[in-house]
Amino acid sequence: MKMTGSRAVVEILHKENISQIFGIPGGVVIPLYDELYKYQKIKLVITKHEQGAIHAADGYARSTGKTGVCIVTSGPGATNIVTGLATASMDSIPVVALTGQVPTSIIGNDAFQEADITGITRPVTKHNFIVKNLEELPIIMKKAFYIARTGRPGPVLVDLPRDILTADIDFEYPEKVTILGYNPTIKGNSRQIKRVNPHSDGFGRLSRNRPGISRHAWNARNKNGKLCSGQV
Amino acid sequence: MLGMHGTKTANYAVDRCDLLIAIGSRFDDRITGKLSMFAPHAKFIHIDIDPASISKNVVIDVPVVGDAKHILREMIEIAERLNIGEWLKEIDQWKKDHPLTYEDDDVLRPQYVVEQIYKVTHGDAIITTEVGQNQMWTAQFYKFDRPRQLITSGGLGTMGYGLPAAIGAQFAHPEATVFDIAGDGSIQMNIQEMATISQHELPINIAILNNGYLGMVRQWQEFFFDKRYAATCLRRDGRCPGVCNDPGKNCPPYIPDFVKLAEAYFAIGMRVEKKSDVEGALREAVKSKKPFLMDFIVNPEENVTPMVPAGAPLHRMISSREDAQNYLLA
Repeated sequence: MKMTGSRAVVEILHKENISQIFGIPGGVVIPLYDELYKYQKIKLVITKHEQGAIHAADGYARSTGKTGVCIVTSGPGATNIVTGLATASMDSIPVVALTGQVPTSIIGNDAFQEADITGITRPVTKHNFIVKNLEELPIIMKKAFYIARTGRPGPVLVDLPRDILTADIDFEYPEKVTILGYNPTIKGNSRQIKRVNPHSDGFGRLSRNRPGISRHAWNARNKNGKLCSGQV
Repeated sequence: MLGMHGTKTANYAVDRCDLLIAIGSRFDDRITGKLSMFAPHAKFIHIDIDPASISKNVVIDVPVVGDAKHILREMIEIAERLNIGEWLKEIDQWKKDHPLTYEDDDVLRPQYVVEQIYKVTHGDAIITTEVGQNQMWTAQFYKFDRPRQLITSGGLGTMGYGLPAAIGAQFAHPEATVFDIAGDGSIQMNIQEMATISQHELPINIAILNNGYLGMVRQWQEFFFDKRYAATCLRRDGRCPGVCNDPGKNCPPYIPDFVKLAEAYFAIGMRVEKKSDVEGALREAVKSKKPFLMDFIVNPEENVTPMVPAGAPLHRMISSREDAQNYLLA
C-alpha cells in the first residue's frame, strides 16, 4: 500500500501494539506528528521537556512490562533524551525512541538542529539505527522493537531524517525478523541447569584452579548446605 | 535489601553464606562493596539472559544463560530439599538484632513519612522515587511485595527521574495510587512536568522529603569530609558566610516555595512540618484524586543507615559520624 514514511511509522506503531506515546514535536518531526493527529488511535502525551518524555515512556514500560515509546525532534530534542536512554539502558528497560533528523541530503552540513544522535547514543542504547533509505524503514522499525523487547531488554533509538518521513513508500510490514548475530537464549541449556544442583558432578567445576577471587573450602555434602538468596 | 544501604541482615547473610544464587543481578559496586571480599565463602550460581553479564564483576561457578522464568521452573524440578534450618535461625536472629530503625521522637523524620505512606496506601501503591536519600529510605521503609511496584533509577541514578516516571506509570494504571517520593533537590530537575500532570488531571501524589540539602552528598560530607558542607545546602545564598556546616534559624528562606509552585501548576500544595500532621495530609492527598504535592519539612541532617562506605567490604557497616571517623582511622 502506498503511503508516506510518516504514515508508515504510525501504522507500524499500531501493529506493534503501541497505544501510548510521550514526546515533544519540533521542526523535522511535524509530518510524523501530523499523521498521529490524523490517526487519533494512539494516545499522545506532550511533556514539557524531552527528558520528561523519555522517563515517562520508561515509567510506563517498567510499570507494565510493555515497550515505552517517545518521539522527539532532531538536535536538542534528541540530545535531551540521552540521560533517559542511559537510565533505561542501565536498568534494562524496553524503550523505543524515535528522533527526527535533518534531511539526508544535508546531514553533516551543520544544518539547523542537527546532531549526530546515533553517534552520541551508541554507548547508552542497546542498539540504534538511522534510516537512510526509505525502503529500509519497515525492517529497521521491526528490528528496533524486536531488539528492545527480547533478550536483555533495553532502549533502541531510530533516527528518522525528514525526507524519509515525507517520501512515499510502498508499505509492507514484515511478520518476522532475523538479525545476524542476535539470538537471545530463552529456554536455557539443560546441561547447564542440571549443574546448579550442588550434588551434581559438574557443580562448581568451572571454578577449580581459577586465579583471582579466593574462595574458602567448599563441600556441599558436609556443610548442611547453607543457602542464601536476595530475599533476606 | 543488600548493599551500601541494605539491611545488616542481608549483608551479613551474603558475607557468611556458602551458596549464593543470583537471578539477573549485575553485581554493581553498590551491592558488592569491596569486590575481592564479596561473599568470600560462597559458590555462585548466576542465572541471566545476558551472557555478557556473567562473570563480569564476580567470577561465577555455575552460570545459567536464559530466561529466569523457564530456568527456575526446570531448576525446581531437579532441586533437592536442603537442610538449612540452622542457617535460617541465624538469619532470623540477625533480623531481630538489627532491624532498620530511626529515632522515635517528636522530630519529623523522612523514614516516618515513608512508613506512613506505606500505611495509608495499604502497601499497594506504585512508588516512583528520585535519587539519593529519598530513594534509599523508600527502599528501606516501604515494604514492596509485588513486581513493578517500585520504579526507580537504580543503575544510572538519575535525579529528576521520579516525577516523569510517575506520569508514565499513572497513564498505564489510571486506577492505581501513584506516589513520587522525592527529595527537594531531585524534584527540581524535572519539576516542569507538574504542568503535564495537571493538564491530564493525573492524581499523582508527590511527597517531597524536604531537608534543604542535596542530602546524600551532605551525608558523605558529614561522614568522610569532616562536615564541610561544600555546595550541598539548597538554602545557601550570597549573604551566607563562606564556611558553614550547620543548618540554623538564621538560614535564608527555601527557594522555591513548593506550595506556591504547586498552586502555580494548578495542583494542590500542602506544607507539613509536624509529625502528627503527616497521616492526615497523606489521607487527604490520596482521597482528593487530584495532583497533590506535599512538602514535608524533615530533619535536615538525617542520615541513611546502615551504610557500607564505598570500597569497604559488606560487613563493615557504619551508622554515625563517629563510626565513620573510626573507619577512616582504621
